[in-house]
Amino acid sequence: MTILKAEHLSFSYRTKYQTIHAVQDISCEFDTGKMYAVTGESGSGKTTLLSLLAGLDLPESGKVTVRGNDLSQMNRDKYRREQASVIYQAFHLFPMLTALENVMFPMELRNMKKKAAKERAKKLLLQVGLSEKIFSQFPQMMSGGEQQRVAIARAFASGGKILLADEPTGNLDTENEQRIVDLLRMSADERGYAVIVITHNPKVAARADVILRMQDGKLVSVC
Amino acid sequence: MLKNSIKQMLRTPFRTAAFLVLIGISSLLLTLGCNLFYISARTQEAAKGAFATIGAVRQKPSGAAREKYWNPETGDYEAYSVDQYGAAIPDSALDIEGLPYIHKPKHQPFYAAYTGDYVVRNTHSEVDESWWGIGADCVIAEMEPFEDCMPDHPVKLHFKKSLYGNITDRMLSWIWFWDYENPHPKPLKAGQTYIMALYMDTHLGYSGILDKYEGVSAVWTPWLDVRGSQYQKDGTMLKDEKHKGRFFDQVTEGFYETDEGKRWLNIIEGFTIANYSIPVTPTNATKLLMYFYNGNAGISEGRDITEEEYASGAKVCLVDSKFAANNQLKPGDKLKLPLYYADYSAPACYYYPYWAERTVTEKMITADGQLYDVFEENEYEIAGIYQVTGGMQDLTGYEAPQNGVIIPAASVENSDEDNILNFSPMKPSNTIFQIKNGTIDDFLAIWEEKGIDGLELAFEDNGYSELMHSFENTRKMSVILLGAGAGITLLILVFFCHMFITKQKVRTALERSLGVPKGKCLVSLCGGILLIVLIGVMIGSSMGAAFTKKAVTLSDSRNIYSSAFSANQAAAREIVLPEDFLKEQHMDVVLPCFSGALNLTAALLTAFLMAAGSLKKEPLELLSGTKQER
Repeated sequence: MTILKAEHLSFSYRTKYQTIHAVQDISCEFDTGKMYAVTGESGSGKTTLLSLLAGLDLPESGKVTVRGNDLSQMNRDKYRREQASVIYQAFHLFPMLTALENVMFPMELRNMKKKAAKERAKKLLLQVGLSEKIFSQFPQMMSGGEQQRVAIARAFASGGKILLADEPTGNLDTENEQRIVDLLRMSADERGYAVIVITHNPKVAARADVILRMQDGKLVSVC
Repeated sequence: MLKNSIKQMLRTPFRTAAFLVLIGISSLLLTLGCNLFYISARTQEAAKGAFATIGAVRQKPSGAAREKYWNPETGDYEAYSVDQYGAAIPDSALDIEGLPYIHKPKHQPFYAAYTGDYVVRNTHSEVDESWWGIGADCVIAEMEPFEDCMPDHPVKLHFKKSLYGNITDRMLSWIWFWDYENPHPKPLKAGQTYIMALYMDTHLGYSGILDKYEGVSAVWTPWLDVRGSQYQKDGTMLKDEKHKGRFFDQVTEGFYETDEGKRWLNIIEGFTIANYSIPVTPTNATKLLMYFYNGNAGISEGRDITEEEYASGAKVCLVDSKFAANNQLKPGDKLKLPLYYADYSAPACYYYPYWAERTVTEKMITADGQLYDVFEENEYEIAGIYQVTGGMQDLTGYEAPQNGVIIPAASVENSDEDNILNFSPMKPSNTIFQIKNGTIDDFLAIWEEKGIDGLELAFEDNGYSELMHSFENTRKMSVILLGAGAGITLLILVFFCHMFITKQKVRTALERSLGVPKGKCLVSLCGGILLIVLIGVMIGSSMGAAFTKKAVTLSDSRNIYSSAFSANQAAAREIVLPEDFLKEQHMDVVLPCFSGALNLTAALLTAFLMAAGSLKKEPLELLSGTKQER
């Protein structure tokens, strides 16, 4: 089922010296239960596309629809709280919160009771393969792979069905890279997420159901 | 989000504690500065009301004249120097445009009011009433020589009849008389009656001059001549040369029907009237009277005369407490004041000394020998009763007179031009003006440019200028404290907001990407900081208030300043803030709250500005790298 759709998206921004046309007339669809890899060289517009799909930016032209609704007409904060989650290459956990608190954060945002949020956070952390001893650790005490798994658990905590990942394995070693890709794959296969991964890594791309290749802001191939 | 914000701050306890301590210190400085500034401003205001700057005018002598008097001890004339003033300069000469007067200079007399129905005796005097009045040793009496004689030495006179004074009480039937200071005494004839004004010259006995006259231990000499005393408004004396040096007259049949006889009777009646007179001081403000200005007198009952009453010439008065007590007068009672002469020369306290017996030395008759008529008669309502404080003092001319009554100068409607008993050019005891506080230099600058020669000005502000200088220093100090407090506060806020907000850009971006609305992000960023600031401000401001209270208590909230007026008149001024100054002004609550609010506002502004800067950033730009990498 198509959950997210980009229709003729265009977006540009100005730097000090020039106007960059980061995304030009891109149209594509994302279904639940599938993993998508967006590839392309640096500056090809991958992250801008992610930003538009996450509702962090609004397109200059075209539109993003979520379950058929125009994202620009929706409450985009609510969209990110309840339907779409983003994970990053640099993990980006709250440094002053423990692993458990990081995962509880999106649930508390949705006003879930603290006790229930805590229980669910523990379950999610266990589901991404982390042990209980991690629960009370702060991000700086964890390895990169552990941090990224906490980030994925946090993404699951938001309860939506769209998972956007920006180079999620970029800072990880091969073993952890494999684990994270497995988790993303599992997210699509078992949890029914539409997983959209931006990556340079061909091994990651190879695990995707669909590969979208971008060049100079344009979508040049879908396979 | 607030809980989350606080939780995250508490995860860096040392940084948060340092922030709390520094904010507390800056609040303390700010509160202290605010309080000091406020206190100095308040005290300054209180001082402005408590102080008055007055000036005194003196006409400078235009030269000196040599005069001579007969010295019977050396048997020759002796010369002495007398200041000459020329024409009296009118007080209008000081009416120059631009001078910062509150009350213009006015050459004020004191008036004598005849109050026959009132008790005027100085009841605190030990002197027996029968001896009270013109002095114990002064008489006017009819005398008769035992034999023809020339009174160039002590001669015996038979006492025939007392017309004024206490010679009867002394049971004297004869006296020794000597026209001692007269180089050309007139002969006296046996069997003739003479009317004389005499006084017992004790000096001659003490100095041993009488030693060569066997049996003579006390001698009476001429007291006064029958010359009238009268001046015109411009200060010119109406001359009465005919009676100058005329100390006695021969009494013949029908003498008292003649002009000369009537003159003697008028002098006697004048003394009687004078003994039952009280001094009435007209003024334009109570503080222009030096005994009030110096704090030697104060309203003890009722109220002061208001500025409006002074300006409109209302028939209200202030009465000396002893006079009021002797006559059972209280505020609201009426007092009739028939004014019959004006004295523009000596201050009232010379003739009506507060701590001594009343003395009369002037003859209350005009140049043509008539008694002074009442020129103004009004009924005054007693507004207040004043009390003279302090004990007996040397007479300097600035003291309160006995039985004094103070009235608005404008309440005297009739001219006193025909009733001027005595006159001298302007001098500090009768010409005082008031200028705005702190304007002495301005006054002198204008006076230097537009003023006239011949007048000397002296100013007294009871230390106001020095006090204001000291207040200015306190104010500067408080401004420095305030500035330092504000500066430190700002630096602390900027530094810690940078640490807790700007450096938390990624956290903000992350919150945004997780769907936290901007408003909640703002709370998450600023909530913890503002809570710490609030706690710091409460502690710091409370400590600042406590320190201020301690400082105010130590100084007792009272400052005493003293200075000296000319003529060695010590003066003291007390700036008294209201007893419940702190409570009344809620200074211990309002000012710390004010400085705290200032601090909080600064924190709010700084935090919000920095948070707004962070919220402006694109979340992905921060989380994924630069725009170029997109």
